[in-house]
Amino acid sequence: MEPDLLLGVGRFVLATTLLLLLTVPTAFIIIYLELKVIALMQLRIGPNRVGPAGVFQSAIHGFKVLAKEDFTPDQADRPIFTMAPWMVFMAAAMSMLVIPFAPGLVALDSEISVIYFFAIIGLSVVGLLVAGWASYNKYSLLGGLRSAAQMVSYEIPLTLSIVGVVILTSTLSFTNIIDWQHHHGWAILWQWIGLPVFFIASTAEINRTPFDMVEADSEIVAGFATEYSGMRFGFFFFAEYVSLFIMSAILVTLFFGGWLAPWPFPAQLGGFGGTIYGLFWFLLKTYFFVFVSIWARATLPRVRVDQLMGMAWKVLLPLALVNLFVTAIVVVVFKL
Amino acid sequence: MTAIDPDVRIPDPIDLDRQEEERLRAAAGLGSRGEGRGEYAGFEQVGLPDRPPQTERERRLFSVGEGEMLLNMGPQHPSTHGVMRLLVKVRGEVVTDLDPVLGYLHRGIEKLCENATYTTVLTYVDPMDYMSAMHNEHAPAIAFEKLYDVEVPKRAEYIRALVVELNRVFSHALMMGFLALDMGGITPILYGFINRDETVELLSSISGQRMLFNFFRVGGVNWDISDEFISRLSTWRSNVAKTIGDNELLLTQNEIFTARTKGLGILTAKDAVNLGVTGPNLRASGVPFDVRKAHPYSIYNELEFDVVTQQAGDTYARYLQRVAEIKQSIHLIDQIVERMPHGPVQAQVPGIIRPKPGRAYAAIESPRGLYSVYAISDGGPNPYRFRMRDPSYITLQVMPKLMPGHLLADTMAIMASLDPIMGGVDK
Amino acid sequence: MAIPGTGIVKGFATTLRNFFSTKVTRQYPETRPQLSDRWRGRLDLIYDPFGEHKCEVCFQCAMVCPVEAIDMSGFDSQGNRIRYGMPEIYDERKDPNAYRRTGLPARPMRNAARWDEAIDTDWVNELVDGFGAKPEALVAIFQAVETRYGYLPERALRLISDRTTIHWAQVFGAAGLGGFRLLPGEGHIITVCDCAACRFAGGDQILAALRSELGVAPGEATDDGRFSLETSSDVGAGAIAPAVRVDTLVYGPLSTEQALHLVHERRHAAAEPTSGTRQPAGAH
Repeated sequence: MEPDLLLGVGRFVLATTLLLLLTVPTAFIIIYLELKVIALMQLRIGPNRVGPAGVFQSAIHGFKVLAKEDFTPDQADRPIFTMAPWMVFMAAAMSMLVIPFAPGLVALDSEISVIYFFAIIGLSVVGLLVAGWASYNKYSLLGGLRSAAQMVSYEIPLTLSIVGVVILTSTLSFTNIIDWQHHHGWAILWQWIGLPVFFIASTAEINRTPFDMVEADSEIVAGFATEYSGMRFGFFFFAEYVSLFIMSAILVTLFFGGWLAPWPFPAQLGGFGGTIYGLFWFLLKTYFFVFVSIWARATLPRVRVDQLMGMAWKVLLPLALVNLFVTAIVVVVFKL
Repeated sequence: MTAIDPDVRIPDPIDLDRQEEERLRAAAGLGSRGEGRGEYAGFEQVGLPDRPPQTERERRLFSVGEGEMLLNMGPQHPSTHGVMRLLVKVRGEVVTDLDPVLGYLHRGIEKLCENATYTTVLTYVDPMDYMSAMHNEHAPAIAFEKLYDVEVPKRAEYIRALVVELNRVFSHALMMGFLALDMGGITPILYGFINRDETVELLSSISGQRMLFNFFRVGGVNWDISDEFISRLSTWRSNVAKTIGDNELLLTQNEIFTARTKGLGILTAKDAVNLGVTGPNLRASGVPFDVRKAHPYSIYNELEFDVVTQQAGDTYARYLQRVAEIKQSIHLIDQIVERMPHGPVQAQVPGIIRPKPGRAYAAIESPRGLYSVYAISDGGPNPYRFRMRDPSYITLQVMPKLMPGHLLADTMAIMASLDPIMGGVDK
Repeated sequence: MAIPGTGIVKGFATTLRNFFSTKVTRQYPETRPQLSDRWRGRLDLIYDPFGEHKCEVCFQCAMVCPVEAIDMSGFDSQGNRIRYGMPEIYDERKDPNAYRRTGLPARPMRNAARWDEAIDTDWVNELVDGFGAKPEALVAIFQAVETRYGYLPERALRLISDRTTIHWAQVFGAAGLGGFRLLPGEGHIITVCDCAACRFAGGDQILAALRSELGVAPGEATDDGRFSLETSSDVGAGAIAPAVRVDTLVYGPLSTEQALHLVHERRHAAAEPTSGTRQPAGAH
């Protein structure tokens, strides 16, 4: 075999393994953040018993989920019921492949990584839908159908909102988008309509408050996850938080320059030092938007399902189209 | 082990039930119980009674049309406010019909009270409407004082009014939180509970308990209040503005909140009066009826306060009504503390009261509406008849009127805005 | 009209302000709540200024308790042990619980026949007094009663409960847990040990053989009332496994033939079933 091919395969296997392993601490960190931040906003202290300042609380949650009985309802469609959590989790994990964490630190540096990303992240809706269907539970069915309606609607403004960035940078690769921003400044300077559209649509896409219709606990108990327990529920749970991380990372990559620092990147930093420096800025920005999402969860009530759909089609879609035209005109006029 | 009474064989109840069930299902024209299991043809219609419909209403509720399904919300559901079962018929997400099923919390409090002496009745009524235990004690206390013809000391009346208004504040504050919680906002309930905790700490310092206070006595109250209590009350007075204010900042102008609640579940004044709705829900529909003003009891005719009303009658108006009433209650508390007279807090009453045969009725304004007690004495130590009218029970009646036509998500918002407490409904 | 979004921004500002403000949570085991003097939830007896219990064991609290949750005993001024009464009403209600504790099937009502069991009440009372009516002596009292009657008659247990002022449900529970016989056996009682050691050594085969020989399942008596078959894991003879107890005698290690021989021996021994356990000893 060619040494190049062997190297490529080895690199790919290593990268996927590392990314799969990365999902665990990512989910743990975000779960802990959510517990602690919401507690502090509610004038509580939050987790503070397990480890210093309760940092191991989410690990304990993980072990609890592992130790619980994995229950399958009597009349559930067993193969699909078992498969659904994997579909949701793998959609999240696979879409991590194209995220550029730092200069040189990207698992799959493809020319069409933007298309790959939005294709893969949309797969999770299939998992949620079949989870709701296979559970043989009315609440799960309602949750599954809600997820299908919501996520299919929000795919459109979500995808349209990034076309602005793609026109601006004239590339479909996340790495090249960051390169462009390195030379021309962050995309947010031109994309201040695209950013809110992308943020709202991505919040709806990953079912975060205030758009968590899919698992609205005060209405349909837990939606598609009502009948899930044990580690299968854990996969849904993990996937939700990993998706939150991924969406924040993509938002940072598209609009806030990815691993770029707010000031020019120091030229003398190359190789390993540059990677660490980039990773630091990338994670800082990403976790800022994770914090914003948690902050929204502590503040906002949930919107109703018809308002949610109306917003997608009546507000976000026109805004995304306006953004597209404005960006196109800007690109033509200013010759960016 | 050794055989025990081999002759005594209790028949297996499950077999009997199954046979009876099959017979009834056949009579009702339904298929066998086992039919269709494991198929995706459709879910089993839970909640269908195993008998032919008895009334036209049942026939309408249980006939499930194309694309409709019956959904049991409760008795175990994250937001049914205690243990109530809402049998909801939905077409997709739209509620087409609805039937509240009650009785999961029935404890027979009225009957317990009829077997207790007049003094101990006041301990039994506490857990009824557990959000307003002080109000629960107030009405029977007034009724028994009327029966026994005893004059309550002035200071006791002021203390009663004080604790009752404190109770109203935290009850309404929690309602704001529960309304937000049922709509997905998780923070206001915590702020509401901060306020409740401060209030019950305050009340427990004079009554000795945090939830079921057992503070009222026939002819007065159990304990006097101290200067320390008054100083703690002023601290509470400054804190309550913050917690309620935070909740208001989070909700009142929030666009998501207003978009979800304005125009939702409109209860017209005519309907409200016809169905016997009282309290904040009635006033939110524009009817200025408040027992404290209409039929003054205790010292309310000496105090100055307004009967606030809203005109819209929707969920948002009911929310605003609670906020306005909290402010009125705080205004009342200020006046009460200012005018608190000195003197005894308990009239001379024997340990076991034996009133002359007669009957007495007492109505008060609880946080949920007109709460009244009707007691009949036959001259013995126990009430011959003890009847309570709980406003939550009456409020539940309007649900089938308000909810059909709205989405499933709105049923919970409407229910939280009506603020029924199942402990009071089922008694 | 306000700018759309102002309300949401106000909400975000509120939560962010509270994010940095002082927290209200009290860390319970470290900071104890300040309970007022009037606090009624204290689970202890109050002392007077001289260090004596204020409780005089007047039972008034137990009498008025609506759910009969209070069950109390103490010493009166003469130093006699006293207990809150109404045993008939109270214990009637608790009977099913007491049966469940012993592992017997719960029955809705008291077995009238067992209530009138003929026992020597004076003897039992003397026995209990001989042990000082102390709760610690419960097992010794049970053993003495079982030695005399072969099992623990329910009436004797009630006497013991009254005499020692231990609650009836607790006495019954102790009797059921201690491996005592609570019901009279019929005829010869053949107990096959079903502990692990005996079953490995062939106890199951012995049991099967005895079942087919006697024609009854464990827990039953033969039609003529001469043999009762039962299993127990505490025949107490692990060293001689497999073991079989016949009335009071423990045999082992046994083969199947030997076990059957034990039955044949007794079947031919006497025309009338001798009752090693069921003597009308209390007749008086």
